[in-house]
Amino acid sequence: MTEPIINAQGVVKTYRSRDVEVNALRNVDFVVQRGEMVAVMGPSGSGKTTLLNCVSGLDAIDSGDIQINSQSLLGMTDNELSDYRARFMGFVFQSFNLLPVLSARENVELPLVLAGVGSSKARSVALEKLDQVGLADRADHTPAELSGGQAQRVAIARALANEPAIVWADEPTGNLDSENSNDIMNLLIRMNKELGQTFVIVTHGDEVGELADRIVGMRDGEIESERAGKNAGGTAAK
Amino acid sequence: MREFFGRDMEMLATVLAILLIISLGTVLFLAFRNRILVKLALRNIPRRPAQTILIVVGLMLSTTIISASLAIGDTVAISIRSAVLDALGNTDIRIRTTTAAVGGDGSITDDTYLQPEQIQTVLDTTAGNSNIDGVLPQVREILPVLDNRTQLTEARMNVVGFDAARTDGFGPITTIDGQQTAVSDLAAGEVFLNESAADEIEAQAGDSLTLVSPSGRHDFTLRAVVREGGLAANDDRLIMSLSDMQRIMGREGQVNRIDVSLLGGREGPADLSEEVADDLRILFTDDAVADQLFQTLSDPAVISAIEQRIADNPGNTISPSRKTDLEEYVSLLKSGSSESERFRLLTLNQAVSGQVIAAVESAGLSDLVLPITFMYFQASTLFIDELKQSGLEAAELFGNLFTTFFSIFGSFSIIVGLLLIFLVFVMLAAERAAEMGIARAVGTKRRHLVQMFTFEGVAYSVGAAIIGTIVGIIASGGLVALLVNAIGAADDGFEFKFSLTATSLIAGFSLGLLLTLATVAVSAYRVSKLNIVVAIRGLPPEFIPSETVPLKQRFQNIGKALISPLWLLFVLLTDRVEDKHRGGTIRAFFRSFLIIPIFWRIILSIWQMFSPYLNTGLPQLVLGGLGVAATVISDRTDTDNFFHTSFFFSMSASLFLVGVGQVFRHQIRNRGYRQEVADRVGFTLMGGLLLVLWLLPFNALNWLTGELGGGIEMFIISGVWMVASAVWVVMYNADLIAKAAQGTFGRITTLRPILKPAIAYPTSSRFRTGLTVAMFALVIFTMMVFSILNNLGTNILDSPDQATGGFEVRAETSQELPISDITTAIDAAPGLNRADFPVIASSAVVFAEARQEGAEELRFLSVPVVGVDDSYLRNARFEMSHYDPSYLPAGIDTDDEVAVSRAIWDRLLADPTLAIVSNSLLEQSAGGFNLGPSGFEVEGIAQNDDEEIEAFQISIRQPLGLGGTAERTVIAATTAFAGQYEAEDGDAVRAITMNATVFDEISDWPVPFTTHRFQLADGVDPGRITAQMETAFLDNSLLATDMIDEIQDSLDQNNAFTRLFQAFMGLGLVVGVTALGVLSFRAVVERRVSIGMMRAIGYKSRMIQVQFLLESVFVTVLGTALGLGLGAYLSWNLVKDLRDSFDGLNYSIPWLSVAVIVIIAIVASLLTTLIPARQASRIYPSEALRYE
Repeated sequence: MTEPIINAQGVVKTYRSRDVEVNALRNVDFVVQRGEMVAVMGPSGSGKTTLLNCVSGLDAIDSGDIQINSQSLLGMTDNELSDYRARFMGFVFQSFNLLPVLSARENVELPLVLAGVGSSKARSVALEKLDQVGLADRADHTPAELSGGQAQRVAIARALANEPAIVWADEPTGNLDSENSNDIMNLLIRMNKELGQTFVIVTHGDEVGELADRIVGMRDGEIESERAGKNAGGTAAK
Repeated sequence: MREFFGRDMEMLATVLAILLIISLGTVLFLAFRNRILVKLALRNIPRRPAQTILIVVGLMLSTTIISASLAIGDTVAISIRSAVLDALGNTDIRIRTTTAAVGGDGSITDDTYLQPEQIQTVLDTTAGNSNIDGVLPQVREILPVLDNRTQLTEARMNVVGFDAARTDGFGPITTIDGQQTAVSDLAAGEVFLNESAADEIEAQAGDSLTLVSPSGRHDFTLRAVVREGGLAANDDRLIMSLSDMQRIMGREGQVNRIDVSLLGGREGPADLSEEVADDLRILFTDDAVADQLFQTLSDPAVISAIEQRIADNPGNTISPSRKTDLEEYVSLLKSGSSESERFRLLTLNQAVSGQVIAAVESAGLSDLVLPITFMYFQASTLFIDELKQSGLEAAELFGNLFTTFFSIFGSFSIIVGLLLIFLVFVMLAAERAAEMGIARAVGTKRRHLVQMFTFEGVAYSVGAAIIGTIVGIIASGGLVALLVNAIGAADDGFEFKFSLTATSLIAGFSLGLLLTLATVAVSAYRVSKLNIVVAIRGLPPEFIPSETVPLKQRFQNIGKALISPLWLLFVLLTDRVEDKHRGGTIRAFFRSFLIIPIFWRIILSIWQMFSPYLNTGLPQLVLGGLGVAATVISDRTDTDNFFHTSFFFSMSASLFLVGVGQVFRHQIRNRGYRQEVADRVGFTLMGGLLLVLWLLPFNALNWLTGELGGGIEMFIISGVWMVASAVWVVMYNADLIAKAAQGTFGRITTLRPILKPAIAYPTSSRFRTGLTVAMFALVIFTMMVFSILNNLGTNILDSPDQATGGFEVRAETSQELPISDITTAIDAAPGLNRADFPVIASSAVVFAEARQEGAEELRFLSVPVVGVDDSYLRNARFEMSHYDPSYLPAGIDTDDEVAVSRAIWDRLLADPTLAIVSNSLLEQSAGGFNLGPSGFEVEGIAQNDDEEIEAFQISIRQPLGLGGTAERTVIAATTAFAGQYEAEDGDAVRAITMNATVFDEISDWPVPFTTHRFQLADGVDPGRITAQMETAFLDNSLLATDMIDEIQDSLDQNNAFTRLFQAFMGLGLVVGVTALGVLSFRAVVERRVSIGMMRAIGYKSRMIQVQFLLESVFVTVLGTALGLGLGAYLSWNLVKDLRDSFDGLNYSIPWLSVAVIVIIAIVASLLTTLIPARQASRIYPSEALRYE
């Protein structure tokens, strides 16, 4: 068994607001293999988004350790973390989070430009990615001119633009109807298979989760169950 | 009467206060009815303290600027007023001989002294008048004084001899030790000095003083130094007994003025002045002359001549009030008698007599002209001067001028301030969009939202108006302190003292608050038009589909709105009956405030009726076109015609162009192009056309419209239009700028990821960014125009000869003690070396009258005539702005201004019948201020005409035709710089200059030279030599001036004033910067999630911060660049217009000031953005994303 790409051990995260303490994560161990597609599921407030935020380095943790590619995130400064995210990670959010003032292509270009890719190269890569998600003809539209499903595809194209090792998706289908949800999930699965990237998807939709290699169930800040999804035996290295 | 833009201040303050009370009353009433809404509204205020502070700062600025300009006006008015009162004390009216009245102090045509029998008549006639509490005969002359102990001299001391027995009613004299004293305490040979005079020569009580009078040197002892004010006035003054004064002047029994004090002391009841003065005027009318005049004028030929003149009204010299006077005069001549008071008063009215003489002259009754002129002259035996009244009126006038000046320039900042208020509320609305959308969804009515918003706005506004007024007062206090610094030590007893009247305070507060409230109401209305779905989902407002109410419903709305007043009436009436027992009247009173929303509703329904058609552009096109046509066909000679003003024409033309743009936009849209394309083409076309219209040189369209009337308001209006249309064009084409910026800076790898969003954000929200850019552009625009215009004058030191004529020193002696031959006198004077003065030139001024041949104005009007000696003509280097080329030698290079001017002076030297006029005697260019006295003016040549003119003839004579008449040919006009800095007698700035031989023709007495100009040898220090000259010529009361020093002083004052003004304009910059702060704070809130996302995909926190700063810089730089460009262009236009009258005006951009302005603008906006930018950069990605 090769070294896991994500190896989080004993993660504890507590939110404090005034007098109330919320134990969002209580001593969670979370391991993902390279190329695996993992769905994190659970009811509202079970800590799935917190898990994603903490493990991806968007949020600090109270104790425990997180290693990505055998490198601990704990010692990194904010700037190092930003760089690290820019190079190795892609994000897809429930509400797409495209910059409304930029066109679809420009949105996809952002991470490329951030990584210092030249403008013409960035442009061609962005168009290529939009083509992969089936939106080559919408490259010059602004987010407001796209439907929800289209916007989410642009977000996926953006997340994949840098060919990151890990793609984090937080409720990627939460704002979509079932047909669009299926399309998006199929797209993610296709990407996962074609490119061999690791996907961590937070969702509470059963049909969505079932499409993953592995399903991690959460409740009250703890991992309650783990089982293989319908897609098991796909690309994940065993 | 204090005025604000031509409106009576007290009236204005009252009206504004009432309006304010009504508006606030309405709001209070609504608040009372909907207390829950008030609670909801007010709870927002403490939620974000930083934002609340910014809002209050933004709202207060308009009030601050208004209050500051009113306070500055008050300060000027009250300072002048107190200077007038200090100078006059209890004196209200001054009685002088009539000649002194006509010629002013410079007159030499007749004796200015009253004879003993005249004095007695005055004392007798005034004795019975119960309004008069004092009559004081006196002699005042300007004489040199030497303190024998300190050996210091004052060349120009006001020496006054008072009749010791008659000082009652004029207040006490107090020594500096606080002792009461009186003129009667002076023994023979004793004098008082007031404090400022004593300071000049460092005199102490007991000093021996030497006075020089025409009869020689006289020694006096200083009895005491006395406090200023009252009889001791506030100039440099020496007081002695009347008998001593008469003795040293050789005027036994005579006085040259009699002061009259009315009841009420120093501040005296103003309304008495005219009444008493008229009484005196009638009393001092010569019965025989009045009767003779009446007989002559009642000749039917004369009467019809006057009637003809009233009907013709040549050159519009007869104003409506004069017309009434003249008509009354005619009817008195037809039916009245010479004894009627009205006839006498009108006879003494110089406007009436001038018109009568002109009427007689133009009717060809030439043998009657001189007799009538003489009778008018002799009709009044004494001149009654309402000194205090006119002084106080002048104080008001200057105060009004300052207020107007500061408000006009301040109005840019006020407009900017109002834009900011609007922006603030649009921002607030955006912030609450979701909240309000939900409120609407659960059934809140639109008007409740408007009310809620208004309540919150009113709360902010009232607080801001209070703070704004206070800050305005503090700011104006600071500005006045700067002004005092600028003007330097108090000259002539004048001092700026900070003052503020309650009227101004109320007017400033009310106007500021009303403007704020109005803007709040408009913003609230705009805010309430939100689409519920859009608001809840947080979509960009561009996606609100514009809802067009069906025609039928629009008609119904108008109907309902018109009926609502009746409903109100009904409610009021029924309410009264029902609520009789529960304070119903009070409720009814408050309910009557509902008239405002009802009125508003009517206007709104009418607007809604027509607004859908505005999109097609046709109404604007038609209305604007009609307006332009109205101007073109309107009567060009009628100066009061509103259709023929610049304002009306340019507004119509603009409306027309707006229509053109709209039509294009509408048509493009109808052809099926995307809205975006249609907007871009239509609005770019509209903005571009408007920009071209407003950028045209001022007279560019005169071929179409003729010369249009217009005033200073056009400056504000054209500035606003220019900036607005430029911003319009830029905002609809911002993507081009974005591309250019990216092309330029995009190569820097670290900037690239930031640059794109930093430009995309501001360019995508046109409204906000456009407003902010416009704010910056307007402020920078004004500052730029002002800097450039101010820079014009400072170039004079590069070629000072234009102002000094090449004479470094200018010296004046008094009329009574002239130096008959200055060259010989310098040779003889101890301590002066003739070799130091290689060129000496002399001149004299006589206050004469002139008439231009062939002009519409037939009257002789007063003008100073300067007669100069040959040396002056040989050496003067004043330059010409206009000249008749036929008087130039053949082959002269007309581009060489120095050579042309020299050639003109040489012609005057060769031919004494030639003359030169001052530039300021030429016609004013259109739109200019004319504050000068009404006197002689050249017709047919304007200051901004071409250099080449045709010579014309003038006749010159002494006032009222005394002495002979001289004919002269005017061949040139000097530039406006000539004589501009000769502070001592500013009259020479508006004079006719010629060979002194003219005095032989027009004066029966020899006229001595009283002004001498000197060129100095190399290495002679002008400062030292002027001091030596004053000492050497003490007996002639000589005052010598170092001209370069004088110009420098004047420029320094000017510069100080400019800095003061720029500080005032800086308030506007504060508005712009605050706007940026508001925008940035808002952006942080609005873009929280986006920022979180950007951080998630790898943007470092520093990059976010830089991105925010870049956005501000982008807006600032855009606004600043527009303002600089437009300001530079408008000033260039102005300078081109002015250049014709001020030869050698250089258009140059003061780069240093520009750099300072730009740097301040950018640094200030960076600083305001820094806090929100740091806030943005600190957003933790997971935190931000949680808001999803």
